[in-house]
Amino acid sequence: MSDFPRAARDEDTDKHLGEVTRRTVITGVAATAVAATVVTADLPANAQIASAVPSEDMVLFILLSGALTGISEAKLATDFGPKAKLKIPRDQIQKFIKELKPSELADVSAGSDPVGIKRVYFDWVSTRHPVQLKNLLRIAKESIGAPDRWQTIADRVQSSGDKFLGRSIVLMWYLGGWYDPKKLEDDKGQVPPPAFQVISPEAYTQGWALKVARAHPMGFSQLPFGYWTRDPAELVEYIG
Amino acid sequence: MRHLRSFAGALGVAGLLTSSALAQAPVPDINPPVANCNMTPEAVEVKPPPGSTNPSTFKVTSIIPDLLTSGQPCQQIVNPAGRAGDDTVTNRQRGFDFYSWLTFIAMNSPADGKTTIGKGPRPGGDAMTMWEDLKNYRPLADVMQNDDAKRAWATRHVPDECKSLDGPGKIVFHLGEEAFNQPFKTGPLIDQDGNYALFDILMNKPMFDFINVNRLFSKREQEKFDKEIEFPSGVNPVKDAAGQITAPGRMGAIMLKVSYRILDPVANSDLIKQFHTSDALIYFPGPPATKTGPTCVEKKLGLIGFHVGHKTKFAPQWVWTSFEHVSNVPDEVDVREHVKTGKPLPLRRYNFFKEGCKDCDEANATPPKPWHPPASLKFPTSYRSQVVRTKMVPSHNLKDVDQLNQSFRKILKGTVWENYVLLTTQWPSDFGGKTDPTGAPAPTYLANSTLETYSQGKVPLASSSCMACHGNAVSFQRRDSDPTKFDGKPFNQSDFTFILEKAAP
Repeated sequence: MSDFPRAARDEDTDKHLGEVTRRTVITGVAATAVAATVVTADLPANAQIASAVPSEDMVLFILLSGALTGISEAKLATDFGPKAKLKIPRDQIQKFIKELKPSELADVSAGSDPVGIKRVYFDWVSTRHPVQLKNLLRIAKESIGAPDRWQTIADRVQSSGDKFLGRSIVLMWYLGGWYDPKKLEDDKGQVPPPAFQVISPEAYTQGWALKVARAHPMGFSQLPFGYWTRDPAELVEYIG
Repeated sequence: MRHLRSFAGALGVAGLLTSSALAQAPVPDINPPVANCNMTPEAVEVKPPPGSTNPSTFKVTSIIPDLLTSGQPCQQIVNPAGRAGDDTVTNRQRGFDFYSWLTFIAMNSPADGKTTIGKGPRPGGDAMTMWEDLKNYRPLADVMQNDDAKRAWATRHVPDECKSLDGPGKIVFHLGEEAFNQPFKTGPLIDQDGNYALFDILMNKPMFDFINVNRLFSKREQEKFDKEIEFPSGVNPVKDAAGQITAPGRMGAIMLKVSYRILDPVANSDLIKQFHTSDALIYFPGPPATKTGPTCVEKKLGLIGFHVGHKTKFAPQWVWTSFEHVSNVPDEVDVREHVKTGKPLPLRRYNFFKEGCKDCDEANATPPKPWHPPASLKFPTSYRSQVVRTKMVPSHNLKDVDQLNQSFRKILKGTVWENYVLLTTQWPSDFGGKTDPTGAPAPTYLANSTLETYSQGKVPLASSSCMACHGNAVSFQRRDSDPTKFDGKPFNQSDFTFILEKAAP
């Protein structure tokens, strides 16, 4: 790595700032080399950010979650929909998602957003119940192309051996908390209900129960001062 | 127009200008055309030849010295498609961060408008910057007041207490609580020499004109204002297929918040050429604004933090840029590793951190009260702030920003400006969303270690987010709560700025 050549400095200056170049050793060696490459090379558009989650699995997780929660996939995951290369007009995206064909699965993007709660949830479930999650994702995949995909997924999950994981996933999206599937299975409706874990501060703020109510969680609101003086946005703006 | 009215009234010669002439006096173009918007993109999409099934590639803009004179962007140029594939947020983030660097370079270029940044006459190629010139930016204290003459653009007013210290090139700095106490009175910041860090807020002419023309500098006038408060937006020029401009570019409203440390010309002589510096006349107005005063002291200030808020097309929640001096504070991660393994910190000396401090409070604690800076601007005890930079930006963003910083600092090497780094840019990833008026900020959190020292973190709503916080800024406007009368827009919102809350009576 090349150091930044600099004007002669006295020792004190070097003590204060000379080491900024040593800092670059931590991040700068690889970064500078990559930057040099980036300046001259053309990179293909589909060079993905390294991710441990296969993109198809994330897409299936969102399709599964949409069917189980009743909330539009594009609301659960911002920008979920056809990849840019398909050049589908914005007003056709909902139709594309609703009428998705099996041959189009590879052309679906799981979307990206700054909070990234879908990744938090996916990792949470796959860490705890990897085999059962794979079963549910397979149900979602096999249901693509069905006349009513949501109902097909819901029916198949309900009749599968993993239905309580399905319930845990619904509660996770709505409440931002994790109810273990086994505890849900053993629960006979007694009070108090089964114990749960709050997944993260972001999960608390992203919980759908209060969005469906067109409200917000206690202690968190993105709405500006005075919002209580007027009606909230229409429900369709929240859930699609 | 307002000068004409006050002048005529003062001299009792209102008859010189007829009422009809006054009524017809043109309103200035608040957001005038700009001839040279910088439209350099971060990367350019290279489409495959017709008939080819290959995907597009993206050629990254080379970061070369030519960029130092390429001008200021009027608006971001971002593309949801890019090198990050379907990660549209990362693709756009890269565009925003590139825009931030171009903005930083343009705003910190010498005020003469001719000299390249870093080629100024002072040590380290330093010079008075564009934003320090009153022809380009006006400090908050000069705007939010009822005195028409003092508020007039490009005028310089030196308080009586400062006149004996005045000289060419000095900036006048009004001390009020916002100048030494961080937002929401979270506390002052004390450097390793025991000095208070200082903060100032400035605005560009479109923002000033919007406030001035609509008389929003006054609480009483804000209460009467019956229109939407919407500052003008920056927009790039529009060109037709032949490349002819059909609509000019406009800069839009820009507000700036800066932080400084005090540099002693003798004790800190080794540091002078590592910072952008300003010779400042620090005016203490006296109670109620400051306990001390009225008095004035002269200090050399070193720039340590630089926030820009720019309202642009497709960013009605504004675009939020933040830079810091590299020597402000270490990263929390580096400090933990240092404590655990003994690995040296990147620098031996920081402005707001002392390695191995035995009697320091826990990191990022606020100083003990009282907080009343004396004329010396020294904290009265031996207390020194012990601050670390908390990780709040996603790792892949940090990697991208680090690469960008390396490249831009390389073309600024040998100048004071190579010692400044971009933290990142916060922008609205869903600017038109109806359920989140803050526009789904990306990244979710952003804090400058010198300007939001005590609210760094990732706790929703409690930790610093430019848009989440500024989304709650209000004015003194009295608005009907009937939403049909204001097209459903929020109640007495001030368009993401706290400046209007500082209005004069």
